[in-house]
Amino acid sequence: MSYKVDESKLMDYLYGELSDKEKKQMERYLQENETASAEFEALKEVQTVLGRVKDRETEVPHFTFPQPSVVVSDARLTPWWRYAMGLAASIALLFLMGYLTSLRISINDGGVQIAFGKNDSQSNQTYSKEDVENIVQRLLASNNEIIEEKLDQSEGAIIQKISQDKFLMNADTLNEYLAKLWNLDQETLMGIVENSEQHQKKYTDEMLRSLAIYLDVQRQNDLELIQARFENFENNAEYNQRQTNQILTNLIGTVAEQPINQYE
Amino acid sequence: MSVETIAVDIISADHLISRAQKGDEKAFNQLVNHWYKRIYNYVLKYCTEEDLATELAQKTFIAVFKNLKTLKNTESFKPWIYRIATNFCHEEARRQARNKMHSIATQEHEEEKHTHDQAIAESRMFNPERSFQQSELAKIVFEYIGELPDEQRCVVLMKEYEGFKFHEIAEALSTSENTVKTRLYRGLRFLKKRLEEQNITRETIHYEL
Repeated sequence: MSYKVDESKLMDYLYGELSDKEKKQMERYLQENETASAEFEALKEVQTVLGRVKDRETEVPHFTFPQPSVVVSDARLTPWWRYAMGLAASIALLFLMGYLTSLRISINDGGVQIAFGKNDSQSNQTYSKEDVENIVQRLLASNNEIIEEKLDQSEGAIIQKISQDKFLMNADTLNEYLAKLWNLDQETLMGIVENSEQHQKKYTDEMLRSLAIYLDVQRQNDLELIQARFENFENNAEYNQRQTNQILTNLIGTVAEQPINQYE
Repeated sequence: MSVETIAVDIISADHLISRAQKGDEKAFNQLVNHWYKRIYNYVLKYCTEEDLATELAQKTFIAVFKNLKTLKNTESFKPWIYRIATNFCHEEARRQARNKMHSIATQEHEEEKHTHDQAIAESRMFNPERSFQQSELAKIVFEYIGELPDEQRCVVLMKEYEGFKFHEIAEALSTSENTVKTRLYRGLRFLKKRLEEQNITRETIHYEL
C-alpha cells in the first residue's frame, strides 16, 4: 500500500475536496487502518456537533453615506490647463494693477523697497552734517526776518490805535513824548525822585495820623463799654442783696411768730 | 455549503460590486443585505459577544465601502471581506488581551465555573436524555472555539460555518493551503478533546436536540 495519508489529505477527505481517485484510495486506507478510521470518525463527530450550532438572526443596518466617493472625486478633477490659465490670468492682473498704481519694487542695500506713485529722485539724495546745519541756519534767519517784520507792523498798529482812541494824540506827538522820556538827564530824574519821596512822606504822615485817631477813638469806645458793664454788674449785685435781705427778714419774722413749745 | 450561502454567492455578482465601487449606495446596501448576517455570525463566533459582534460587523462594512475601489478582482470579494472582518477580530482580541486583568476574583470565578462545568458533564453522563437547549450548546461551542489560537479559530470558522474552500481561506489569510489544513486539523482535535470532556457527542446531541 503506497498511499500515504497525512493531515492535509484527511482534511480534504473530511470536507469532500478530494478527487474521486484519491477519495477511493482514502476509503480503502481507512478500512484497512483502524486507528486512522477512529481518528477520522472523531473529527467527523466534532464536525457534526459544530454543525448543530445555528446562525443567530440579526437586524441588517442601512448604511447612508454622504456622497459616492467616485462621483465626488470625478467632480474634483480639474484639467491641468485650467490651473495654467488661472495662474497666467493672476500674473497678468498683478502686472496691470502694478502699472495702474505705479508700483515699484526695488532691492537696494537696505533691503526690499515697495512703493506706489511717481519716483522721487531726491528721495535718495544724501546730506552731510554741514549741509544740514546750513539749511537750519538759513531757515532760522528767514524765520527771524519774518518775525521782525511782523513786530514792526504790530508796533505801528498799536501806536496808531492808542493815538486815535485814548489820548487823541497823533502818532508823531506820541513819538516825540517817548523820545523826550528816553532823553531825560540825571538832574531831572533826581528832581522827579525827590518830588516823589516828598509826596510819599506826606502821604505816610497822613496815614499815621489817621491811624492814631482811629486807635484813640477805638480805645475810648472800649473804656466806655467796660464802664457800662461794671455799672450793670453793680446794679445786679445791689438787686440781689436786696432780695436776700428781704428773704432773711421774712424768715426771721416767721420764726419769731411761732410758739416756743412747738419745738419741744 | 448551504443554499443560503450559494444564493449569497450568486447575488454578489460582479455587477453589484461594480455598481457599489462606483458609489451606488443602493447597490452597496444590497451587498450589505446579503452579507451582513454572514459577517455578523462569523464575528459573533469569534468574539462571543453580541454587542461587540454588531460593532465589528458595522466597522467591517464601513471599511468595505471606503476601500471597495481598491478591490481589482471582484471575484475575490468574499475572501476580501472576510479578511477585513478577521483583521478587526484580531485587533479586538489584541486589545482585550492587553486589558485583561487576572484578579483574584476572576480566578475564583473561573474555578467556580470549572466546578459547574464538571457537574453538568457528570449529570449528562448519567442522564443522556437530559434536555439540551440550542443556546446552551452554542454557548459551549463558542467558548471552546474562543479557546483556540487566533489562526486556528478563524480557519475553523471559515471552513465549518462560512463554506470556504481551502484555497479561499488561504487567500483570505494570505497563507498556503497546507498551512490552512494543518491549522484546521489541530483546531478540530482540540475541540474534540474539549467536547469529550463535557460528554458532548453525536449521540447526546441526537437525544437532546
